[in-house]
Amino acid sequence: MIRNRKALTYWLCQILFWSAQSGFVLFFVLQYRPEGRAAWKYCVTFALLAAFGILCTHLYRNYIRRHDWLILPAKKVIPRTILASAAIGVLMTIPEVGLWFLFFGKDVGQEVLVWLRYALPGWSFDVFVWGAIYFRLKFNERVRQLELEKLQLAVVAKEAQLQGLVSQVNPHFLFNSLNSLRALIVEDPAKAQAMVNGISALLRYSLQAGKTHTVPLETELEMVNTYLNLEGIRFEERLSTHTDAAPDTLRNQVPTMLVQSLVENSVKHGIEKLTNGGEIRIASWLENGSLKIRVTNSGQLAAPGGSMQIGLENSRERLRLLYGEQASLVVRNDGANSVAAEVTLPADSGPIHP
Amino acid sequence: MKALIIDDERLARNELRRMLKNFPDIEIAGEARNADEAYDQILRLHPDLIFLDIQMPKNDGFQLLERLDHVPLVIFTTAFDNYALKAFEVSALDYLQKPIAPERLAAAIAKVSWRLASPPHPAPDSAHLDASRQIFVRDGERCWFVAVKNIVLMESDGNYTRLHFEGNRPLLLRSLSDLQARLDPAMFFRANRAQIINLNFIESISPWPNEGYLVKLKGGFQIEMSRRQAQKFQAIAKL
Repeated sequence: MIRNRKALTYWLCQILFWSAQSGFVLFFVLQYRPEGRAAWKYCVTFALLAAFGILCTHLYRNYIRRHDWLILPAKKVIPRTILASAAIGVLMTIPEVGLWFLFFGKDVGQEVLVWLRYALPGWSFDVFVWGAIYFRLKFNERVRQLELEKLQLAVVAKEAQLQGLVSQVNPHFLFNSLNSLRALIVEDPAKAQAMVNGISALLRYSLQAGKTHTVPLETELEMVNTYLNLEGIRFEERLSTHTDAAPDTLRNQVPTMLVQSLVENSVKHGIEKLTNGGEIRIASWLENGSLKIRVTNSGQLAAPGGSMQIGLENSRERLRLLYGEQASLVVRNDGANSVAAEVTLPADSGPIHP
Repeated sequence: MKALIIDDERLARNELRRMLKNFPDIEIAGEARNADEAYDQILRLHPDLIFLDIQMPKNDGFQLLERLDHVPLVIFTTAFDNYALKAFEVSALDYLQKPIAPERLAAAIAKVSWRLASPPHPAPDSAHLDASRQIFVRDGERCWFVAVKNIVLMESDGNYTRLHFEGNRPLLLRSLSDLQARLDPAMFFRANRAQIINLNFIESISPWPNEGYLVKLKGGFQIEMSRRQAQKFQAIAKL
């Protein structure tokens, strides 16, 4: 829809620009029309020239886009556009001269030579103006786009920070853990002390999650491990975990709390629903220049909708804003008694938009 | 007072058990880890009181209560479950939040002790839905503990039964015939194919064509009774 509207605007501008230009020139040329020449021949000539102008500048635009002139610095763009305008200007005079000979006979050579002195720089100038307008509009569009993206990212980051407390370290988990803690204080004080440290570390990590977009995978997995240990105290024999991270993935940057939220989903929608519990497996590896992280849990996907879908959509939106099309998140049943969430991220470096 | 602790987490059960040591009136008859275990234990042990965690694997606490013919007194416990909290809120039910505060526990126990002491508690007998017993019903977010004797009218609705009491009309997931077999015939009467009425709520009875009756119940219900049912009705109501 927006694409269509943009295309429509573009073509309207093209037609407007070239019909104004042709109309303007036609108006003056007709003033100096020698006796006996039909006005319609002038009209047809300039109409065809306008069409040709549209064709040339359209190809010019495609060339600009293909060679990324829009993101070049001004000092590189200006000489390029001057050269291109001159070349297209010369090109434009060819059909003009041709039409002149076609309509007004073979003996207008002298006359053509006279007006060619004006026409050559004239066309080039027109194309240059066309280019200036085009660059100006594109520049505005890019500025707006960047501003929009910046705003979106700010909003999502803020939301992530909020969710760090609301959904990521979710209250259900927190209060159940505190309840287990109350029991452990009597039963196993040493374990209770360790649990307090675990909860603290997790809360701190989650509070800081909104401030840094990414962390090394190693840091994230450490936190996930802390979380799973805490859940292990609650679920006891009902939860078993296994982590298998390839050593060359540990330094890779990943969005903060991303794996954590997937693992929380696995507990909430997988383990907690199973009377005899189950297993959560985490694996990471490099594949075709991408980082793959996979979280698998026992159970089966519930019907679409519900809180899990909202959580996943938030993660996807975050990935899209951080990495564009380079990242993805897929969740599906992996056999009869297993659900797998798989994240694909760009290997090495950080996000495109820091 | 015989109590049953229902929670899927061992530490949570232990902690509650420890806290209940301060209440000599309460004898902990057993523990259950999920709804199925709890169902069996309730039928076997007939507890007066259950401590019920809402969130459990497979069937939750509400689903357990819906299965029971006779619901003991219930003290709900929950860590933080939006859905359950909403249900407690709209239904004005008491619940304890985990970790449980000792004074809140004491208040909840005082409240149920008082309820248990006031009406004589019926002897447990799973074959009959004794009129003073309570059942648990849900309708969307709302839920009720309703004493069987307060139900005015039961109406067949598909395979289930719609209950009418105190202006509410939730659906009970049982068939009307199934219910009829368990109700006290001195209080409840099958007026026709689709309706069971509570005799204590009859306002008036008037003749109806073909030697039937038109029975008016409190709350504005009008029930038609065929000749055959009218004859049975005469025998029971001694008209």
